[in-house]
Amino acid sequence: MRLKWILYAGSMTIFIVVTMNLMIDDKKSLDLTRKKIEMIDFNNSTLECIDSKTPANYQRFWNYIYQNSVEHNEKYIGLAYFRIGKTYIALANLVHNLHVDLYYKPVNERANPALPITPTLRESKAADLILKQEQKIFNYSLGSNHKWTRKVNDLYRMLQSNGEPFFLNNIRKEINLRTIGDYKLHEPEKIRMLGAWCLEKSKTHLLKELAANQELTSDQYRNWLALVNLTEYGAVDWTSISQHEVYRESLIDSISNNAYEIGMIIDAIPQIVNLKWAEPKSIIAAFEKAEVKLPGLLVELSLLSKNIGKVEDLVNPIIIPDDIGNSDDLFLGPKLILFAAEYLYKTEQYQDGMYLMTRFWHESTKTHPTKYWCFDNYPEYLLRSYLVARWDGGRLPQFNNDFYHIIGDDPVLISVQELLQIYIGVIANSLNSTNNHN
Amino acid sequence: MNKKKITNEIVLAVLFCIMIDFLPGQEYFGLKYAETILEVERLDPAHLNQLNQIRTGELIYSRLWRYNELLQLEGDLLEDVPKPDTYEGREALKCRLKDNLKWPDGHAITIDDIEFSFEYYGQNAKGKKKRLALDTDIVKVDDNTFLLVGNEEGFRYKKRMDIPLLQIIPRHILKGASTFGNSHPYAKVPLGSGPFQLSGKPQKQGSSIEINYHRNVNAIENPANRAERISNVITVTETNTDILIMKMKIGDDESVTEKNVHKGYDLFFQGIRDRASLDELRRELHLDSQRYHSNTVLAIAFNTQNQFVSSTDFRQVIDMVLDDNAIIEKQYGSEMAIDLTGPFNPVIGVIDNTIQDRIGSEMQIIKKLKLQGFIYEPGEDLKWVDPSSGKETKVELTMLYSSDYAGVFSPEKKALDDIKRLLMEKYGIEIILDGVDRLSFAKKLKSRSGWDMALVKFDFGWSGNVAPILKSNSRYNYSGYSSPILDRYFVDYTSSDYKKRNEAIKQIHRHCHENLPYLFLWHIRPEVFYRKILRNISITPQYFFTTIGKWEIKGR
Repeated sequence: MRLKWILYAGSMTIFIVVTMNLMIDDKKSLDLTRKKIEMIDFNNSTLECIDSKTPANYQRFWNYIYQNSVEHNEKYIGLAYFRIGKTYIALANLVHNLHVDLYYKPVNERANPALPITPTLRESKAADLILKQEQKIFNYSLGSNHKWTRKVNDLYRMLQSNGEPFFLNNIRKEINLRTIGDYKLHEPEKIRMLGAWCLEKSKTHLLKELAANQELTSDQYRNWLALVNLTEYGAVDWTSISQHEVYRESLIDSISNNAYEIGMIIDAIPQIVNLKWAEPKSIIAAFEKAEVKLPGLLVELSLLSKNIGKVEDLVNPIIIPDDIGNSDDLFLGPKLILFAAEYLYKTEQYQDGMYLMTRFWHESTKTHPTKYWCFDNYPEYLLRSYLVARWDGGRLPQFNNDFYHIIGDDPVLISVQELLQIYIGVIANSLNSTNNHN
Repeated sequence: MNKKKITNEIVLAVLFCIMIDFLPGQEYFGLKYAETILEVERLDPAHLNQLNQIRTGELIYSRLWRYNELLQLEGDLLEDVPKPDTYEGREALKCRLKDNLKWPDGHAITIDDIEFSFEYYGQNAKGKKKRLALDTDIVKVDDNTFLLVGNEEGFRYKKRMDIPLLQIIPRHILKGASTFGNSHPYAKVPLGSGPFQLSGKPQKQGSSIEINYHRNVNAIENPANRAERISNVITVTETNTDILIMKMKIGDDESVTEKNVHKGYDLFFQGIRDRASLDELRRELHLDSQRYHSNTVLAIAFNTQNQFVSSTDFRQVIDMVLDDNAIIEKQYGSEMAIDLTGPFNPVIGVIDNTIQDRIGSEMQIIKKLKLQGFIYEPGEDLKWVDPSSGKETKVELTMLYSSDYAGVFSPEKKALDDIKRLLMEKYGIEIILDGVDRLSFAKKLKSRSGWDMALVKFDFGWSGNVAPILKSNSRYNYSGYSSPILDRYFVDYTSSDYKKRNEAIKQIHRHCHENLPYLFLWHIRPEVFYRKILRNISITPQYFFTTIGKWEIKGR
């Protein structure tokens, strides 16, 4: 009897050891993947966004472009430039608004009392001038004929003539946090220009990729959708894309079938409506068919995000319902919340926008977005969220922590790190502390 | 009594019991939570400085205006945040009290109470609280309106931020006596205008303390659903993490007995750091959790007066051996902790971002040891030969730690065991782990005797005042490290000029990384767990319970 038990215990031990080893091996291979392959797509920690074993919360476009440049690989490069361009534009907006909070006056009157910090600074005419110039530039939206200031234009020409190698090897020296008198100022105009340059580069690559690949694939559909999105900044010549009409005609079907590319489609809705490829009503009907929650609101907010007028007789006036966070659509749920929060922000309902955004991110550790939601462009989403949520001083450390995870080796994101630290440092310092130890 | 009658009565009795069971019981809205330490020697607000005391104070007192969970200002006793004003050419803040404010005993809260409170802080408080009170004049405008006036340049900007430090106390209870000693009843059972009031003196039983509070009937703040406001709070000391977990895991129905005695806890925010226990709690359906931010730092203090650890190069070797990120990944999981390269936390303020964690290969570490004159032979004890006497010494270091904090199953104790093993196996350095209780730990740490290294958890608060542990001659400088250069950085560190302060922070960071008076390891991101029956939970950084008046609790 005893021998039987010994044999039983022995075999169980071997089974456990073997299982543990297999598990450890599996983890090791994942780590290797993490180190070797830079990812273009986002996956959450429950691995529900894409089928491949992409590491969770890992989407580093600069690293991706750098690695592909080293390996002379052009796969997804258009999409990578598209996404990094959008990320930089979101970053530029954030940086500019942090400047406003720190050195002018927060638009939200309830912001932490330490803001702005100008009462503690000596006046600086040079800094004032830079800030005024910056304000002017950010009053204008980004378009194809955007005029940059002289220095920024010089950098733009440099990027145009030297291309990717300059971007990958030299940009870190060109975009910095500078000290001007008592002021610490970043260069949001340069970041914005860099974003625009990346989008131009993206357009070239996307057109090339679409022209070279005639077959109908999900990858090419995504490339095409990115191009549609880029029409915001200038016209696109569709003639070289043989499948253009097929893609265009499949848009409504894609929506009603809740296609995998739904996140990119919703982002392109303002452009689709602008190009008169579909009417808002038919888009809403398609979302209804797909049983998406709050379809009217989703479409209207998407249109408003690009200042395209309201959809008449549909959802008027706009009311953001309390249960807006209850959507279970992995891609559209987060979009709806961001659109709503940005709408509240735009209409000067800053506190409400902020609450909505911070609740989505940090109401519960069980529902942190990187666990359950899917994003086409997670870094851009995070930065846009940060902009709306930035007056919630209590949660800023958590946003910063999330921000540090998207940095990778991107020199532009790295260069902004200190400005974010200055901002939270000012707020943190307004609280008076005690010391404690165990 | 015939048989039928008896049967009928039994049936009726059973039916009655069943009916009683189905009748809605008296709903109970109490909350019980645990603290690892409670200090209750004095509970009047000038003396509430430690974090547990600050939390206690949030339940009892209110302020003129306050920081809420967003770190935005809002009126507390005042209708709103004060408006900028001027009085006789001096900067002022115009304040207006809310209407019909009352102390829990029904007395009106008046401007006299505000004046009295400032007088009290001027005489009893220390540091910033004292300076705030002394630098501010109060000028009464009418029964509800007054000005806070000061001579200081930027008075309005600074005082809007700082005056929320001061909590208001009642003049009539203290009969105008603004100075009183430890034995005064008010120091033990104070009264404030906060959401809760003490139900009596804190109960002490051995090292355990229990504080009972009941709702202030005249509380300024209540939840939208008043019927579900928290009726009473019980705070107890609890250091045993197994008990904490067990009591949080008790289901809502069983967490309180029929007589409203708490068997479980409803909320806790400290103490549990190991991944397995956290995951266990995260799985509980009746619990929810939030992260909030504190500024804690786990560090190894080097006793810089002792042999070996007096050498910066040797301290750097210890730093090179410890791969913080690997330890974090193994013991906590990367989401739970943030690696630090100095005393400052990168998510809460400026640091020198160019500084990287110091890691060395085995070969580099051995080379560095040999360069310092150590005799290294693989598999043998590391030895040191005194150049003057030729005496050979084995490298043996005592690591002090609090066994209350780094308990047997804690991730920190496991990390210490790993470090001990690693230093011995690879470099022949013997580490003697010395775990003692909290009080002995504090005593030994301060005396700087009997240890070479000590594992210490600091809480610097949100504004991150690290000066006490680093400045020469500070009683909290456990490492005994003294540097006039470092001391000079602390002049600018306390400046209200952000540029100067931020530059000083970077200098201090670099100096600490280079000279290692302490080896700053990591920050553990705290997570607060609570029953889902608690609603509208909002946690104010550092103060924690500021908005508890608005919280709701469902009956269970």
